[in-house]
Amino acid sequence: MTAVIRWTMRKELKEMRRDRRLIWASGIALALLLVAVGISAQHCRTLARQKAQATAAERARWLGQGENNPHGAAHYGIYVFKPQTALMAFDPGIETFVGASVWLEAHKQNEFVYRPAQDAAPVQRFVQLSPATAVQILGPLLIILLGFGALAGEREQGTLRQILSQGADGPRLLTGKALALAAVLLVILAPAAGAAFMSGVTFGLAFSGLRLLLMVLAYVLYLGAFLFLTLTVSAWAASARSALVILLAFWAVNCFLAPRTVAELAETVYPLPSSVEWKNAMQTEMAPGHAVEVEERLKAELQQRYGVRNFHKSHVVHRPLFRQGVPESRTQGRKRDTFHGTGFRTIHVRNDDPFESC
Amino acid sequence: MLITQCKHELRQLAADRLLYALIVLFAVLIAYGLWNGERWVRFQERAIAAAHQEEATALTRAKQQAERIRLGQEKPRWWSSSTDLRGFLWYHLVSYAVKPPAPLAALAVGQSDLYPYLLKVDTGARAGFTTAYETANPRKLLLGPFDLAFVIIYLLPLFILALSYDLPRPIPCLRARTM
Repeated sequence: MTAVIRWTMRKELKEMRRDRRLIWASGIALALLLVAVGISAQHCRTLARQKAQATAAERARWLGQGENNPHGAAHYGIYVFKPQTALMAFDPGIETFVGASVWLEAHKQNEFVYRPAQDAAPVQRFVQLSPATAVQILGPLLIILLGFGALAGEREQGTLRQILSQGADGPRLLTGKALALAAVLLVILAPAAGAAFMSGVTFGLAFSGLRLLLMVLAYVLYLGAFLFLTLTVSAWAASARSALVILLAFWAVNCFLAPRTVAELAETVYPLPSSVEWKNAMQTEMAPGHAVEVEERLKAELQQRYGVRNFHKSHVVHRPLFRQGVPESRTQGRKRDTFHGTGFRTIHVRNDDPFESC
Repeated sequence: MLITQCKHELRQLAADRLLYALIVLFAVLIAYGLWNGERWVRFQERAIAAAHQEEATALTRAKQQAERIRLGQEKPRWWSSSTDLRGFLWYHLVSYAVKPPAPLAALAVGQSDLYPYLLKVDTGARAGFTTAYETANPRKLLLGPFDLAFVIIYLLPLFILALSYDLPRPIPCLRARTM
């Protein structure tokens, strides 16, 4: 009885081909996707080149600093850059909103800096056209436009009864319609997605087959859910028009309303401290770590306990009892509380006394 | 004729229960958008107040230390002494450059969640604004804020479409008018 599936598919595809509106909608979706792939590929290439140049320059600076005391070298640190992966060409994700590089130094833990969004024009935030957003937003819309009349339309025309009376059963009919929709989607989405992956790989970015597989699986599930939702609503709604309205409302909620609402609600439930308050609290907690009197007291304690007479720089390297290290490790336990309370789980080893330590 | 037509359309709309549901929904969305905008303004104001507090505390501490130094109760080293210019600048002084939210800031968050509004002025600062950013969930930055501007730009057009997609609803009436 696979003939039912085959003939349903053929009929659906023929109808889609005949409908000029669907041809136009698909064409526009394809064009947008290709533009997104082009923009994304160019962006990826620029980023990869910039990162390679910066990494090489920083590496050269690090190696070319001449003979240096390890402490001094670590004190002045080095910039490292976040790796990029080939899948970024398809979905840059939050990449634009997180820092691209961090300055590693021995005494401070720095934040990741240089968010690409800082340098972007405001309009770029308004329209973030990446192949991924195109598939996530246009894919479902396309499914709805192609499929809202799949069953409701047949019922309105009275052909549904005819088909069923010919011996076609529900599941096979549905499978045929779903396959026809999936085939059209595959033709429109797959080349663009493939091109995006390929562009990422050609720019020499790291590639992981497992991640690609998981990503493809996630998109198949997402679009599959929309596909069957469309068919369900189409079978359930009173008319093709009300099916379209219900589906478009769901699409708008899913693609525009829900993500922002959920993000805002999450922040309402778990508010973040402002960075100034957080840094301030951290500094207050750490203040005893380098206060002169505390240091003197610790020195006396250590002298009494271990019989250390003089505190020299050599202790920093050769002994575990160095003066800088004690206050730092002493404050770590306290700091962990501050970090924990605010959701930051980093241990911040810090010393505000640059003149003493190098 | 135009007025009659308007009246007729309004009556048609008023008869549609969908309209009332959508109006209630939009009232809620607009209120939520405004509330979120206001929350962001409050957040910035609180952060700015905290910054000013930090400045004041640092200054008070420096003055107290200077007083102790004057009385000979404390002999700090130069880098932590508030009576030494270098010590005061590097160790004691805290100063912020501030961009307070504008009066209408609650209506549209815009780019303000991305750009700095508070900058610690520091003689040892590396590259100006690079670290002057608010801690935020990057995914939320990607999605954008749910403010009034979002409701007007993205959702209101959908509202208009939902209300007017079948405006010439009573087909017999339309036919009667055009005949």
